[in-house]
Amino acid sequence: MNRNWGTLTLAILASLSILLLRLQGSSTPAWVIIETFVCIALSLMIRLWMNRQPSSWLESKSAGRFRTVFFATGVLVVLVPWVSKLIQTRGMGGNGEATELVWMGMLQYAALWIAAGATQSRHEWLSFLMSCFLTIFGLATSDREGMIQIVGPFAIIAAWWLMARYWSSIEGGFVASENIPLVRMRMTILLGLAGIAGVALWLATSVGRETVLLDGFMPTSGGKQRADASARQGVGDGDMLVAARDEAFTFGAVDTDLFLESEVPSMYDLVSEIYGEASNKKRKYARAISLDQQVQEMEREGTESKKNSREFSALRKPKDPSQSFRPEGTESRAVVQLIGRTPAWLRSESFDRFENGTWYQSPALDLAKRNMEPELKVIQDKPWMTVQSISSELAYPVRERLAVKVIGLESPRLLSPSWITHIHIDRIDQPDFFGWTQDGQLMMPNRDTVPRLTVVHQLTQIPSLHVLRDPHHPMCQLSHAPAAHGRSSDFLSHYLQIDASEKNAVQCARSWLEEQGLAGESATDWERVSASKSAVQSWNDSPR
Amino acid sequence: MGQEMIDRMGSAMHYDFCPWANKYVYWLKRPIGWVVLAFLASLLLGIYVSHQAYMAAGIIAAVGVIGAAWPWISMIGIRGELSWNPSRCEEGDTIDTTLTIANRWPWPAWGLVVQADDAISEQIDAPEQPISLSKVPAWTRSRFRWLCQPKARGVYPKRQVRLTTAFPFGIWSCSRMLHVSEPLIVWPRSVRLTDVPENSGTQHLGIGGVSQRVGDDGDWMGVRPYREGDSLRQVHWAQTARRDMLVVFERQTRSRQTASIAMDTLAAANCSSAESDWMLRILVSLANHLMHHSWNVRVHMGGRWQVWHSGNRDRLMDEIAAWDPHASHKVSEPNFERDSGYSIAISTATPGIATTRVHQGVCVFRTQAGGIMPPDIGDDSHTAWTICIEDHPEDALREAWRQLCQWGVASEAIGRS
Repeated sequence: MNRNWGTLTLAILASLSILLLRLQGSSTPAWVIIETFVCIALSLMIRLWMNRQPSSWLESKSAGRFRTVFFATGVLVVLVPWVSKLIQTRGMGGNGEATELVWMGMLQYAALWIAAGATQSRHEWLSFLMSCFLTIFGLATSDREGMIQIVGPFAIIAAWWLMARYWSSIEGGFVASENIPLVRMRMTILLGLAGIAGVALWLATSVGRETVLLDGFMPTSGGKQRADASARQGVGDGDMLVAARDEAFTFGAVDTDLFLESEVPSMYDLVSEIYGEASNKKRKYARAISLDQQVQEMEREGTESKKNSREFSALRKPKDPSQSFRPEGTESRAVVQLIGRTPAWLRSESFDRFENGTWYQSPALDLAKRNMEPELKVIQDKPWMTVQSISSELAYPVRERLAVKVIGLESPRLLSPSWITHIHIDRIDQPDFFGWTQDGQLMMPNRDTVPRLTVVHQLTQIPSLHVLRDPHHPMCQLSHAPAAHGRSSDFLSHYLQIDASEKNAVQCARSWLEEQGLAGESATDWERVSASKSAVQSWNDSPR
Repeated sequence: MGQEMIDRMGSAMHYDFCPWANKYVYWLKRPIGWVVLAFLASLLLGIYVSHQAYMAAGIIAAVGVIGAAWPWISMIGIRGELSWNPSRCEEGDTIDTTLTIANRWPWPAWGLVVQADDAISEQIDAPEQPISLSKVPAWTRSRFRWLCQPKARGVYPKRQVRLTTAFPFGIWSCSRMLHVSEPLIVWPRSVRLTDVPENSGTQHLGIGGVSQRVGDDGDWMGVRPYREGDSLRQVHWAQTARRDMLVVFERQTRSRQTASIAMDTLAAANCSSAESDWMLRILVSLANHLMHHSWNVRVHMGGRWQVWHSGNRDRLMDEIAAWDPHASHKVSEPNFERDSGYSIAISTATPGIATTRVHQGVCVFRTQAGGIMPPDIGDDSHTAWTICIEDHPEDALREAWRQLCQWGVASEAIGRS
């Protein structure tokens, strides 16, 4: 194996490992990919060109000029990641990459460039050391399992490169010529190496991740002491509120561990064989779901954290050595915490009557009967409840997902968008845990409040109102049910029947609609409602 | 301009800014240092960052363990002996080197390298490569031969000859000493000279002085009976007729010319090793050349004059091969006698080093990194030639010797003495 190509191959593999790492922390992955592959392509071309030169070329004057140009170009290539970050932050308004990833990128390109133009053994050795460092760094700081697929071939090629380097340093002076089966010999050595590495891998994987992770390593790792906008993950003490593994910008309304000794009511209950003195705590009991026998006895009461993050002082304080390493709970004034696209409108109550400056709920209004009973549906091994179905003509087919974590809401109502279709609470697989209020709001019956820190996952649909603007579409009317226009017991009759004393108001409304061009048959009821809503929102105390 | 700047930058990058710290960081020059550093780094990363780094630590540890253990295991059963044939030679001569290796263990050893003095650690076929062996089979006694050209005088080996291996990864090497039964003695190279000093002037100088010893030159000394082997031209016919037996007459014999050669040891101690080596080569070349032309040659060695003849030439050459210029500067100065024939001193032209110690009537050969100076004819103090050791010194020495022989300046010196 030509050692020059071996050095360049190692540099390319190391570049790929760092590329995976940089993709994790970059908001413009395409930029990073293009940058890396352009540098790899340049390195390959330079190596190809140099291999085609005669051996005497190295001593010629043109080689001297080439070295000067190569060195100057190499300096520019190494600075590319730093320049890219400048362009992304100042020119494009983005975040760019984390500083240490920029350094790794510079080192990555330096290793490639040196490998491409290596003419001496020490150049190859330097590139090899850089490649090894980059690979180890990428392996240690990336949690992508695909890194193993790069590190494995890298290790094999690196071992082969070492053996080839030593052999080529001495084969020129062999006294007695002999056919040595180099490939067979090196494969035997690599098999021995693989055996030892396999044992090491088995040892590494048999240890749980939770037992070895302590603190974030890099400044942008997050963790207990420092935080950065480019943080990729955060571990340590603190709030244990990191929800997503890939996106560090999300906080975690995670399904926390259950503390059944707490006084607050819980949706979960457990029968265990642990015995001891009876607890004198007064409990409030509500409907609960039974759990499996997986009990972990704790010496101290668990910690609850109601905040979505934790602030920390910029002033450095020595840590009290007597302070126990136990995360302290935090209080929050939040009612709920939302994970999802914002802004989001969550309905809590609805009112249908407005009289004398006050909104009322009609006593006759009973939307609970109109909505379907929740039905259990398993999605990705999780128990979801289907609570509503929306006409496919009125909504986009793709559902949005959001989660709401109850913090301080003392109500059995579940805050949700209007067009919620599915709901999920961890381990709740019985439909009768959910119900509807009279005003059509999703709630949890037979309890006073939804337990604190309950995370409610929801799937909703987004209205698509195009059909409502089509005068020829059967859904363009405000209510397509003929019954809505006739029966007084239906709530819609309250909207559609106007008393005779309000004829002036009706006339005024008709005149306004005519002025807006919405009185004719070409306008749909939705357009009229939309225009009225806009007019009300922009109402400026006009008598009209 | 650009090249000059790059050269300056290169010089700056090679400059040793902190020589005091070298002993703490020189371990990084060896590959094993980097392996240990990488292992420790991976271990720390595995403990504090990600358990995936344990895998890297395991691989690095495997490379380190195999790279360190394999050479050690390979050399356990290796024994070797190094010898040369012939055991004496001059610089630049081609000699046969034999390495005998016995492997007593049941596994072969690969990638072995012979580590010896620089002068004898190269073979003719691969002059800039270390002498290496691809494989020594298990349970065998192997013999390896190669041709070697020793480049410098001396008695070898000057340091321990070792057989090392760093197979397979080259990160750690183990070695075994080789036994040397008989050392190799490399003499200074003798430059081939062609001229002999001319004799001019008196008859004495033409044939040399005569002595009362029996020979074939000069006047009659007497007669004697014929002995087997005598020339018939030496038969004294008158006496033969008188005595009725063959009688031959005896003549005198010519006395041999003498040359005294001395080297300025103080100058040799203070100049470079290249110059001192060339001083020795000049001395050996002149001594051997004059000896081959039946001159009586005296060489100032070890603080005393010693006769250079074929009987003790090897011994004297061995002494010269092993001579250390830095150990000889306290030896007494040579005293050129007035009737000692040619007086030749070998010194250096380096300013300030013992050029004034040359006595009157002595020819001086000086070594220097410069051009040949023309002989100072007419200078009664001494006659000197400068040999530039970097510019074809053999040719310069032949030219200087030719001038000395043709101009006969030394003859005039003898005449005066």
